[in-house]
This record gives sequence, C-alpha cells and structure tokens, in this order.
Amino acid sequence: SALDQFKSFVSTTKSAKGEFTQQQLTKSKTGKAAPVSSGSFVFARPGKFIWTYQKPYDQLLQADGDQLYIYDKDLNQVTVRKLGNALGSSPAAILFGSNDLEKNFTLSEAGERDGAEWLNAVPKTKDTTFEQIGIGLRGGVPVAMELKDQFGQVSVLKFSNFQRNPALGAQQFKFEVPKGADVVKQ
Amino acid sequence: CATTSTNVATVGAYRDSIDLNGRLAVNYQKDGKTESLNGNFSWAQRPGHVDVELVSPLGQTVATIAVTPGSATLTQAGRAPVSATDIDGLTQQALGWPLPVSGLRDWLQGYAVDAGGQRFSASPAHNSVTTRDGWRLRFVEWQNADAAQPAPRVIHAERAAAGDIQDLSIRIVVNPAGQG
Repeated sequence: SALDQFKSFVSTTKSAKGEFTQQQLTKSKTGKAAPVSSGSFVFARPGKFIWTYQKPYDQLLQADGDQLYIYDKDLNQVTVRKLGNALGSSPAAILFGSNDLEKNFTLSEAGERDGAEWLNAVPKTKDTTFEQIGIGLRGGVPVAMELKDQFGQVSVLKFSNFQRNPALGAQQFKFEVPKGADVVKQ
Repeated sequence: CATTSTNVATVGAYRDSIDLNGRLAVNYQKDGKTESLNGNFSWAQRPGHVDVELVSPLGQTVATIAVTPGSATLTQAGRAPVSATDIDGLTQQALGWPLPVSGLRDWLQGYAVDAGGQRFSASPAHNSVTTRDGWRLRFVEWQNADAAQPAPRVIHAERAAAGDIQDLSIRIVVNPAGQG
C-alpha cells in the first residue's frame, strides 16, 4: 500500500537527490496555463535540503538544519529565517523533514493512479497554505506530489532520477551568500 | 548589476489591459523586527479592474486581490474575503505591509507621478524617480535595455518611514511575456 511504501521510504532514506518538474494545474487569472518550472533537489534528514529552480528562473530554497535561505538571482536577495517550524506542514517536511509525519498530517490511502500508489496527507494545523497534499509512490520512492492550496489551485511536482542515500559532502548544505547579493535576516 | 545603459528611449505607451507575472520580495519593519516576504505574483489588469495573485515560492496561492475604482477585496488563504475602498490600507491591515497596487499599475510599465505631480516615463538612461507619495523608484534592469520601447524587468521601490508608515522596500522582477 502507499502507506507501507511511504513508511519504508521515510525509515530507509536518510538522504536523496534528483530532479523535479513543477506545474500549476489550474489556470491562473490570466487564463494562460502556467509554465513548467524545473530544477534539482538534494536532501538529508532531518531538515537539510537544497531545492533549486533552474527554469524558468534561478531561485533557491536551502535549509542547513538550522536556517532557511531563499535566494532569487534576479531579485539579488537572500532571505534568512530560522528553520524552526518553517518546514511545518509543507511538502518539504514530507520529503525532507523529521520522520514523525503523523504529528503534522492525517494520512490516508488514496488508491492507485498513473502507475503509482497514492497517499493523502491533510495538515493538522490550519495556518498552512495547503488544504491537502497527495504523494504518489512507486518502487518505494515518491514519483509525484500534488499540492492543493486553500484556493483550490493544484501544483503538481514530478520527480525523476531519484537516487536514495547518495554520497554527500560534509559541506553539502552549507549556504554561501552569492557575491553582491543583499541579505535580509528575518 | 544594473546596466547603466545610455538608451534614452522611454517605455512604450501605457496599456490599460495587460497581463504580467513575476516575483517579488517585500522587506519591512514590524515591531522593530525585519520581516521579509518572498513570492510570485500574477497581475491581470483590464480597464477599471486589476486582479493580483500572490503565490508562495512553492506555488501555493497566499492571497488574491481584486481592485476596482470603487472597492478592493483581499482574500487570504483559509480566510474570509476582506473589502475596503482603499487597497493600500487594506493590504497594510491584512498583510502587515501596503501593496501599492495603484502605484504598481504605473510602475510595472515604467511610469510614475513624480514629486512635482508630473508624469514620469522611465528609460534605461533615466531610470529613477521619487514619486509624489514618497516612493523612491529605480528601474534597475530591463527586458531589453537597448529596445526602441524598453520594458522594465527589475524594479526597486523604497519608502522611508514617515509617521506610522514604516521602512518598506519592494523588489520586483517581471518575467518576460509568455513565460507566465
């Protein structure tokens, strides 16, 4: 079942890396379908990850276990804030956070679809921008996530080239402020 | 790095109907602490109506704003819509910082009203102005700095603290058309 696959994933995957694509399913107000953004990710439990958007623009979300950094190349700004519960009930918490997922989410089976077994996760706290998160698993690893926000907008993440427990350098998650970027500490 | 271009060609004619997308970073002071918000925005403007969507970096809608000449409505994730006649006051009250929608209507296309009440149209060579209501604008980068009708790509808007309004800086990147 999806829950078994997910539990084994969480307990046996200490770190992972791979690529992702992301697309907003529902059309935005402008009526045009949002473009697909894509990039790469690497994570190590608990609370360490680098989520890099390469297309259509450079944007980086990085957590070193203590601080969360958001860097946007065009905005030329790095925002730094305590990681604390910033992960809370976000998709990052599901993939990269601590293992006790049931603390923040109510999990339920959502059957098989698109060649994957799906798990439904509903955040327990109401102060999140998510209404519901779907996780599709195949072969014991997440292959897709569907993020539904409070406005009914659905954003679909697809993972590829998912490598479990890769060799990671000690400084893998150390954040270097890009030259010339302004830093805003929250 | 800001391109200090010598192109004096000013932005194209102002358009009443325009769809723009981009990213913004808002830095402001709240109870003495620096607050920062990062996100994406979509801007759908028609004559007499602007729809703005504020979206988190991971793609979740945080708030939607609908502005018409007479009223403005703001809906935050998981909360009932809130309406007021003045959008800047509404966003200040609901989000903790004023999203200057009326100003943005001009700025996103490279226009502004300067301190003397005159219409300012930006160009790569002449890219900064202080607006009548105290915003210091800099059109830092352009979609194409040498174009006959350049369009803004990166805009910095800063407003010094005055009275109960606190320090506020907004950085905006407008995605090239078609990139959503």
